[in-house]
Amino acid sequence: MRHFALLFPVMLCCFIVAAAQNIPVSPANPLNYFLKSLENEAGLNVRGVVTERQTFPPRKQADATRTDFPAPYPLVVTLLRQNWSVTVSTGEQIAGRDTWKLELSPANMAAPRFTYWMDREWNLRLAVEERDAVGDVTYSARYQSIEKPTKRSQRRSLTRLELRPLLEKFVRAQIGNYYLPDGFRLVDVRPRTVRDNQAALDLRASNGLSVIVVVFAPIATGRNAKLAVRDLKGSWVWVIGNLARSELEQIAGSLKAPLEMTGLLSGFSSAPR
Amino acid sequence: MTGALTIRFTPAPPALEQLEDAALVLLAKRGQDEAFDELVKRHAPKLHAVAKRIVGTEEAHDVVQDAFINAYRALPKFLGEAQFTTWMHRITLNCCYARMRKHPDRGHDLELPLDASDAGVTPVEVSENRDLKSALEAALARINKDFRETFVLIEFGQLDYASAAQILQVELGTVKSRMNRARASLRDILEGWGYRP
Amino acid sequence: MNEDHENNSQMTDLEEQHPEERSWAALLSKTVESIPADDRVVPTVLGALRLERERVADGSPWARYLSGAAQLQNSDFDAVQPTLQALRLERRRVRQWRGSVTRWIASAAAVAAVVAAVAVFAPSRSADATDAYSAYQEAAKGW
Repeated sequence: MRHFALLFPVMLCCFIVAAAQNIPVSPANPLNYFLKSLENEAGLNVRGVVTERQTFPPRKQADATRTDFPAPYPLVVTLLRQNWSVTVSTGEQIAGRDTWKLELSPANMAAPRFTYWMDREWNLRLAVEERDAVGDVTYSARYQSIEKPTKRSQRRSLTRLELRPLLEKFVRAQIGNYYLPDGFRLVDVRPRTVRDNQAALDLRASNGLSVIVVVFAPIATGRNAKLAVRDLKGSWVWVIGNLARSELEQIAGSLKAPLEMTGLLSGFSSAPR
Repeated sequence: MTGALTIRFTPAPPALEQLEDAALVLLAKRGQDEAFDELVKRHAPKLHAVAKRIVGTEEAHDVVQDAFINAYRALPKFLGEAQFTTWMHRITLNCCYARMRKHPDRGHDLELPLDASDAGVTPVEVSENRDLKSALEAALARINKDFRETFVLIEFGQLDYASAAQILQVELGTVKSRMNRARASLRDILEGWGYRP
Repeated sequence: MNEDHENNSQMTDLEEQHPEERSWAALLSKTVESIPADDRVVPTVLGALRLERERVADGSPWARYLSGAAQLQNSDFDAVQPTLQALRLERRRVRQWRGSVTRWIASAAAVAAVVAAVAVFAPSRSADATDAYSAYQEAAKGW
């Protein structure tokens, strides 16, 4: 017990010494620090030169240069707290700025993991790296130079999704049980249109930070990396996510067409254009 | 009887596509739905282009749809004092304002419509017009609301200054002034991103 | 707004502008012109108008889906509300289609052949994965 009694004064001393010597003190709770920094960034105009490389989802040019940092993923804070471990360390300088390096790792290693470099003074993202389960970098962005941020006239709102057990129940009632990788939960259902303005339905699942999208559509889509497509006889399901193909195939394999959608979607596919 | 085959030609009525707006309005008022459909085909794309820059991509389809339904219902009361296009723009703007009152938070995508990313706006890509289009969209979202509205009506809606003044219910001079300021603001932003004419 | 008072001092028309301003104005106009119109808007509006005219009876599968959803307990309602809204949107689209299909079937056999062709080919057509990836991109955007 005596050791514990000593702990507080020792920590206090360390802090005072660190502050006196201007040694940076790392954020005590890295996840809270990450969330607060994103909120902070939502209220700022930040411009500079950002280099970006994206291999998933694939696009024409993997490399691009942009003038500001990409939007963060939508967050499900409950799942972030449940499913992720976040560590902090001193990061390399980015665009001449001191950083904290945050490493976010999901409990389910099949899901992608993220590394963020946060500006220590301005509390915003200076660089990000997303790696898939194999360890390949599928997305990265990094400021090469950055201007001093200014306050936005109108804050952006950071998308924070909530768990919706009743929605999950409702969807299960419509399509039966389905498989999602550990840690992922259904968070949203939306209509969308696909090629030729045909109606489809999006189901979105999240593990707190990454998303898996399931699309029920009247048409197929091209087969490609990190994309599973399954014929539901009358409609199709597409599953897209930064996970191994086998995981996506397993999700697709577990899905049935929504009870009332089959008729609807086949109706759509034969409608005049 | 000469025995010769006689073919009588009845002059065909002019195709709807050839009629002016005023004539189509008249036919539509008499209940010819195809005439109103022709007005839709003629004006909906421009009105959509205007609405998109005011309420954002997601809402613009609904706005234009509402505007035409409102116009269709109000057609008997349309006296033809204004041009149809001016009238439709006014209705569309009203629908935009109604949407914005209903969903004040949806304006966010106007603040940063493409998260600048989709634009890939960099000095490196200055010469590519593809990027200039995106850059212009991004710049438009950043300028004063009144200037943007005026610019959008005139450039995207292809209206003359007088019609824009009528729609916005301001003096002609104000429209000219706002248009110049819109251009100046856009120029400042685009120059800052490395674009030159 | 004091801009009204500044009108006289503000240069107004293109002819009065400096060459540099004129070239900027031309560039802006040219760029606007080059932005393609959204070709989905005309069919959307025409569909809505048809609905307005015909007041198509409401019997789509979505209607049944919705009425099933509406019978959920009150406590479920908040959670289901966004879905219902999404489905209502869908239902509206279905009704538009129904309106157009009804007219269309009555109109011409030639067009029926087109429908048959579409019915045969549409479900089996596969394309590139752009649609799928854009669904992912949309879902992955957090502001």
